[in-house]
Amino acid sequence: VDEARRGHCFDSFVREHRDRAIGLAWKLLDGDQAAAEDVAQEAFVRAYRGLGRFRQDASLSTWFYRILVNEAHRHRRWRWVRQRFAGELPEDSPDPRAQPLGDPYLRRRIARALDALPRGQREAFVLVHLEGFTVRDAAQITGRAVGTIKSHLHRALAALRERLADLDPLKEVNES
Amino acid sequence: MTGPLSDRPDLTPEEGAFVRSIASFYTAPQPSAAERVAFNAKLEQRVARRRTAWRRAPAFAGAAVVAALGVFVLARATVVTPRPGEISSSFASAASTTAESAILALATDSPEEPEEALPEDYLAIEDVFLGG
Repeated sequence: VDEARRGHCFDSFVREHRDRAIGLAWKLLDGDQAAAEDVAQEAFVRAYRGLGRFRQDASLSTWFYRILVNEAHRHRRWRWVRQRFAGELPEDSPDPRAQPLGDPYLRRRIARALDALPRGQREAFVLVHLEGFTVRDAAQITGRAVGTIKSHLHRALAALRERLADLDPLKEVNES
Repeated sequence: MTGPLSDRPDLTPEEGAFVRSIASFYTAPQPSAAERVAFNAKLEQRVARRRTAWRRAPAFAGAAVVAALGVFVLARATVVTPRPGEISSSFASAASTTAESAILALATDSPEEPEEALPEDYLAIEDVFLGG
């Protein structure tokens, strides 16, 4: 009965967080859809397995997103090793699934700019500015202090504005 | 999960416009209904596969303990039986240490899955290039 109840609760949790989890992983993994789905799945599996160890010192969703962010980081590390020692991966492998709307070139540029940020800055920027988490939530998810998150956000924003200056709407207005 | 609205970073209007512009260009595709169903089905399979593996784990552990004990018994049987009073204390302690180590190794926490155990050379590389 417990197993069935756990399964039922877990299904609801997956339904509620699936799209956001894939979206967050997608942003942390430079727009790699297949990897994002794989990482989201692995995070859900780990969460399911670890439910018994969950301590209620954070909300369940914060705990889950912490697992997801760590899983995305793990994936990035392995990808880095593969790229380094097994040669570069194809840049744009064809993916039969739906492609996001918008300019793919622009998307790649943003992905590269995010990829060039240190881990802490990238995670803080994606969580707070692109996914709408609060600074406090981002601190809990990444296991860093609120002050550290604010500092990461400040630095990430400065670096991105420099690298992607042409995307700054106000700069374009001023220059024209 | 959500904090107070004031728990947002303070951005100048220029910074805010830049962030909104990035957010609008860098958006993940919305999964279709079919993709959601496929995701759920695959996840269900993965959970079921892991569950089976966890259930089998005690059986594997039991088999390993039996194997370790078998090695221990065989090791004792192949030794020339000393005359009474001449038991080699060093061998006895070595053999029992081996068996104990085998059993202890089973009881000790190990990485839950093979992929969680990163190779040592990789960890060294990671420390140098990625800073941990």
